[in-house]
Amino acid sequence: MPGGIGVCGPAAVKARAGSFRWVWVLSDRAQSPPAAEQGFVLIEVLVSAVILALVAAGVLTLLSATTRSAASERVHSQAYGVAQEDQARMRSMRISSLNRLEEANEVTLDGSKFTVESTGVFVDNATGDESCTEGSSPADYVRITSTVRSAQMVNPVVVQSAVAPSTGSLDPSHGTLSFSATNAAGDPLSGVSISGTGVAGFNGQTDSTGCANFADLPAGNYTMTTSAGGMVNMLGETSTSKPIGVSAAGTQTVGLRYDVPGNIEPRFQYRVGSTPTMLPATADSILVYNAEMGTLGRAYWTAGHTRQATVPATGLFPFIHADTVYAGACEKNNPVPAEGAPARASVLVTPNGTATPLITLPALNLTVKRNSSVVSGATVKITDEECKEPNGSLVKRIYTTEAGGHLTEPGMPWGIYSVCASGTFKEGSNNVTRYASKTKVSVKNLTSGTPLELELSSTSSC
Amino acid sequence: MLTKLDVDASDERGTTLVELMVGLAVGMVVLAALTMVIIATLHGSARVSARVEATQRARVVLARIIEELHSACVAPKVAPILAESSGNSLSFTHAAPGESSAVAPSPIKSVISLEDGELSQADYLPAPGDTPSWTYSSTRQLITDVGPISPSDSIFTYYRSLNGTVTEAPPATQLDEMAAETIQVRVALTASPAGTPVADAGADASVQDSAALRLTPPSFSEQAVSLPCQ
Repeated sequence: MPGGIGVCGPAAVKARAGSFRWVWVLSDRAQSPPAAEQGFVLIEVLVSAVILALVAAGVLTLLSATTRSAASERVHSQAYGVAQEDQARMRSMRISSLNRLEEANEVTLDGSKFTVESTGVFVDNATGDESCTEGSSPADYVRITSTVRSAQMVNPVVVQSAVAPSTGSLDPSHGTLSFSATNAAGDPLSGVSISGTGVAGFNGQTDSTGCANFADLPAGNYTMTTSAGGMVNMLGETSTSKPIGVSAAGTQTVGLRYDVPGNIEPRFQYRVGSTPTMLPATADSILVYNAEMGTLGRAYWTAGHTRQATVPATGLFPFIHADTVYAGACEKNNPVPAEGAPARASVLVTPNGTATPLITLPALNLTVKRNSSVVSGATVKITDEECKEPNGSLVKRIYTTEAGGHLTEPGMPWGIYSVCASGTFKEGSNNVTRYASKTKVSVKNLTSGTPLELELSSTSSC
Repeated sequence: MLTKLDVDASDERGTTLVELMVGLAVGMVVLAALTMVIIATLHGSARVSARVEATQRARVVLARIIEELHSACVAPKVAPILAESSGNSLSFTHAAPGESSAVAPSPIKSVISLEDGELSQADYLPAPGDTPSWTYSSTRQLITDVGPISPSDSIFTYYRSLNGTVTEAPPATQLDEMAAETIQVRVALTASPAGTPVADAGADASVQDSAALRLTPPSFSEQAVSLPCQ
């Protein structure tokens, strides 16, 4: 009877070959030529074998995972034992050998290779961490750390303990140097290189807490050199060498500040008389000052430098408080009074940034005359009465008058000046030089400038 | 209309046999593979449990020896390791278990020695008198089927301080005068699992630990000798 089961002919089987249901296979076998069926049965057996293999593979994976985790547990417990042993080893070492100890050893146990890193650092009792900001007491104890790694473990096994220095374990004639490095914001700065020479040598870098402690240094005088890559300290130096002393049984704390430098490129302007707008000016030197610098400021260029539209100040430490910038070669040029405020720029230096503040210069509205007519090409020597060069002589600037008898560049640093003008004239067949001078000229007017008229009449030079 | 009988009898017999054989063969292969897997798993799990057992046995003994070494400094400047100690025999004095008086400690002497793969501890009680002398008390078996980590090694390694650094005392049959300077003892041993029907070297477990015989860190001076129990 072909009904019922009979509808599942070979074509139907082919169409549903993907489902492999035994009932169709059996019914096929009952009705179709054998040649057409052989393949199907074999394929199905093979397919079931594949399925079985897949299941077996899954089970096998599970088994191997179990074995692996058991092996990992075992390696962990071995690593812990190795770390414990390393701790015992470090306990019989001298304190001076433990300090800043960094050792790596290899241990093979039961065919597993372990790398043991042994480190020792002086730590402070109050913080329980390597500290360089606590008072001047010597470090309280040495923290010894054993870190055991193995290729068979993802995470290392770390065992720590502390060794307290007892009487006699530290040399009473030795002391500690403790460095603490921070950036402009006051955050710890790692990677600051510190080295020193002297009675003994020391060398190292600050860690992630910004600390570097050099304990057990023989007391005496040292020269320390610090640098932090391309960063600058508060005085703009990338590398500094300074003398430092280590006292017996004491701790000398040294604070270091480094950060990525920034720049200031100020522009200048001035106004004379009733000119409606400010005119661009030039300057030959500026001073940059910040209260945290601890000095009178940093000078860029000197009074003798060619006057230019900007005086670039580079390598400046990015203090969190603004720097004060003013034109001039010394701190006497600082326009301190309230009305001098536009002559000073208060700018925040940002790492790698360039600030371009605008500084208003007081102007000297000078007119040089001879016989009541303006003189062009007269030489004007202007001496700053309060500002001295490093060699002790007063700062001098040389100007020339233009067609109107005025200075070509009337803007100048805030200050009190002596002005001396001179010009050479033809009298008959002779060349005569006539002079005119005025002392205590206060150039401090930012709105209209200081007016001054000089009549070249004197024969005595100034 | 075909009947089942018309087709079945002549056409399918041979084919069914071939199919059956192929099916059987494939089935056998799969079964064989499965059996192999099961055997390997059983073997592996047997090894794991044997190893765990060996580790347990070794750890217990190691912890015991280390604990006794840690209680070896019964008084300051006492050298607990005795001169007769050697690579496979540790002879030392330590506080008697359960002793409470630290003021007048009366240490006992123990000799832990390896013989024929068996580690045993012999205890000696102090005999009355001024010069230290010992009376044999008892022997106890610590562990069997045990040995050094590698055949060329010894179970006990002794360390002393030489010019400020801790160095291994040269291996000798007996420590002799070096015993008075021993500040660290390392114990390293390999134990085989007990009660395994088939010997399996892969199931052996190695353990090691060290005991420092110092109360405080050694002196800063490299010249100063670092002696035990200081």
